[in-house]
Formats: sequence, structure tokens, C-alpha cells
Amino acid sequence: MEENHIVDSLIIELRRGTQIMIVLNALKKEAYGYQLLQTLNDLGVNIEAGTLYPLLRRLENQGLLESTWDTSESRPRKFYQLSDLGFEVLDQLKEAWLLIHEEMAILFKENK
Amino acid sequence: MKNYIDKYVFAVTKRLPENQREEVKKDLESNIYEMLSENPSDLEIDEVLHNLGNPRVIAQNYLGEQKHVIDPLFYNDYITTLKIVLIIFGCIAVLATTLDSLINVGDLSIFEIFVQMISNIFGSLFDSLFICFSIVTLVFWGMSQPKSKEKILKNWKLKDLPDIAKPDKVTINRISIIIEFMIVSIISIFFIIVLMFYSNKIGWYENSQLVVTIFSADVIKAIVPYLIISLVLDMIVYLMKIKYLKYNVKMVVIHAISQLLGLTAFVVLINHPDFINVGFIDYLSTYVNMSYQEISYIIEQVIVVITIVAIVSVCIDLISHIVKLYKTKKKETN
Repeated sequence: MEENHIVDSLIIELRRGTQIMIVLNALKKEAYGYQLLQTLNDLGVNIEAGTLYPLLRRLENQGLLESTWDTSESRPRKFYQLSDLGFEVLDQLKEAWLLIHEEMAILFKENK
Repeated sequence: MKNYIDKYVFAVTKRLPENQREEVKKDLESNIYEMLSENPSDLEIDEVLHNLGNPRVIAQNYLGEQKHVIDPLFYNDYITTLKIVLIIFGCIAVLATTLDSLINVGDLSIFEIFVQMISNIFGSLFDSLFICFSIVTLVFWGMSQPKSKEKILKNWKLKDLPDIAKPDKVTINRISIIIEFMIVSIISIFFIIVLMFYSNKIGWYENSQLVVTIFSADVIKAIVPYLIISLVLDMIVYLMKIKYLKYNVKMVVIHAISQLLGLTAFVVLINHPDFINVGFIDYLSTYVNMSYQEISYIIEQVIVVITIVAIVSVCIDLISHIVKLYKTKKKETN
């Protein structure tokens, strides 16, 4: 029980960093909040609505995303898309991630 | 049921800075309605809102990094400083109030003085602790502000590093406490017996004949019961020390009551106007060739000094017990 709890919280901690990359990557194409949530869930990415929506807003505030309101439908929708800065940041994150991945692969190989 | 969506959104936005509320409200509402069908049932709304999670958590997610009154980096230091400052100023408040209430006794019984003293102590203790808490918190809040925080964290020197703490010895040595217990009991019982049965024998003797007594026996007899209660409580504390060999809260509380009661009784006794027999002062003044007023004045001064010494030593004793208790507790939690 106790051990499960530790593992769970560590996994959440690990995922937190990857979530941003996943969201940025998915928003190379324009999408609104719920649509993105469904896309991600279809891809098997486990992110909750309560985490995703605030994250989108924070990334927008940091200038990594741009948004537009579409009011043509009966309900207004906020569409998000990666900004130029967002593209740059995503590229750098990708590089960093691949490096980490390589390092971990070597590390775990040595441990075997 | 749509009402609940509005309420939910409000529960989130009210926790955000004002300039973000309108934007987040629009954002969140649109997202919620996306998750619902055209004419959602109550059950569906309930499910979607619970799916989103507790409004507090959502608001927290919108805020991103949490702001702290006291930065987590300083939190440990804050708690330590708070403890030290509260203990020091708490002790000063207790000491000053004890001194104040015992010097201005007026015409009250020992019990009344004791009760009044305790209530005064709690009053001033609360005041001083509250002020200290506010000031320390304010200082650490200032330190936690981004600019001063950066400055403090950058400018640290090797010579400011703390000395390595030595392990505290707070356990009680059984042999030495038993010896102390015996000495204190013997002296106290002797003292009480003298006060009870022989106070009218202490006096000026000439050719083995009692000429005049020094103390007034009536005043002493009224005080003795309180001294006995104080002694009994002190004996209990000694027995607890011998049994447990370390300090605990009950022990320190009983010790404090015993000391404060004994101190009150003692101070009231020696400051009582009839404590020193008038006849004795009279007799002494003719013997040493000084006026009655001069002798009275000297005696008064001596009593004031004894009173202050008694109060200060009791306070030091109480403080040392509290500090030892604190160290014991700290060691136990480690």
C-alpha cells in the first residue's frame, strides 16, 4: 500500500515534465481544449481535463501558445496553436528529452 | 442544474487574481460545455464537474507555482527562530509579571494573590507571544520577497556556517537526583518544622533567657500550609524524575505550580508588615544605637533584595526546566 503510493507519486512526478512536451507537440495543429483532450486520450496519453485546461492557459501566458476565439458556432471555442517561440522551445525540449533517454538507456544497460 | 456550473466556475475563479478571472471564466465555461451534450442531465453535469476535479485543485493548477507567505527555503529557520524568540520573550513576560504582581500585592490572601498572578501571567504571556509571532513572521515575509530572497541566498559566507551541534544530554542521573531529593526533603522538612513549632523560640537570648522573638508566630502559621503544599508537589516531581529519568510535560507543570505557590507564600510572608516583631526592632535599636526608623529601613531593603533574588532564581529554575523539556521532546522526535 505504502509502496504503491510512493511509486504512484513518483510516476506522476516523472510524467509532469513530459506532459508539456506532449501538449506542445499536439498543438502544432490548431485545436480547442476538449478536442485536444480527446486526441491525447485516443493516443493513450493519460492527462486529466483539470490538469490540461490550466496548463494550456499557463503555456499561453508564457508565450508558447497562441489562442483565438471562434464564435461562429453556437458555443464559443478557444483554439490554441503553437507560437513561433513554442516551436523553438519544443525543438529544444525534444533534444533534451532524447539526450535524457540515451543517458538513461546507457545507465540501465550498465546496471543489468 | 446549470446553476451548478456557474457555481463551480465561480469556486475556481474566486481563488485567482482579479485580472485573470474573466478570461479563466470564459475559458473554463467553454471547456465544460464542450464536455457536455446539448441538453445535459443533472447526472451528466455532476459527472463532468467531478471529472474536472475539486475547484481548489483546478484553481491551484491555473495559478501554477504557489506563492508562500514564508518561502519554503526559509521555513525551517522561521520555525526555529520563532521557537527561540517565543521562549525567550515568554520567559521575560512571565518573570516581569511575577515580579510585578508580587511587589504590588496589597491586602489580599495568598490564594487570591496566586490566582491573580497566574491570570496576569497568562495575559501578558499571550500579549508578548502574539507580538513576537507577528514581528518574526513579518521579518521572514520580508526575507521571502523575491529581491531580498535572491540577495540573501547569494551572499553566504563560510564563516557563517553553524557549528556542528553536540548531542544534548537531557536524561536525569538517578543517583544524583536521589541525593538531591534527600537533601531538599531534609532541609525543607526541617525548615517547616522550625517554622511551625519553634518560630516563637527564635529570638534574642541573654543568659539563656529569651528576651524577645524575631518573627511574629501568627503570620508564619498562616503561611506554613502553603509551603507544605508546595513541598508535597515538589516531592511528587522528584519521585517522577526518579521514576522516568527524563523530563515530561506533567512533571514540568507540577514543578511550576509548586515553585510559584512556594514563591508566593514565601514572598508574602517576608513582606508582611508584622513578619518582624516590632519589639525586636525596638530592642535592636537600643542595642546597636540606631533609631527605630533606620533599622526598619535596613530590614526593608534586605527584604526587597531577598524578594528579588527569590523571584529571579525561581524563574531561572522554571526556564531551565522548560528548556530541558524542550530538548527532551526535540530529541524524541528526531
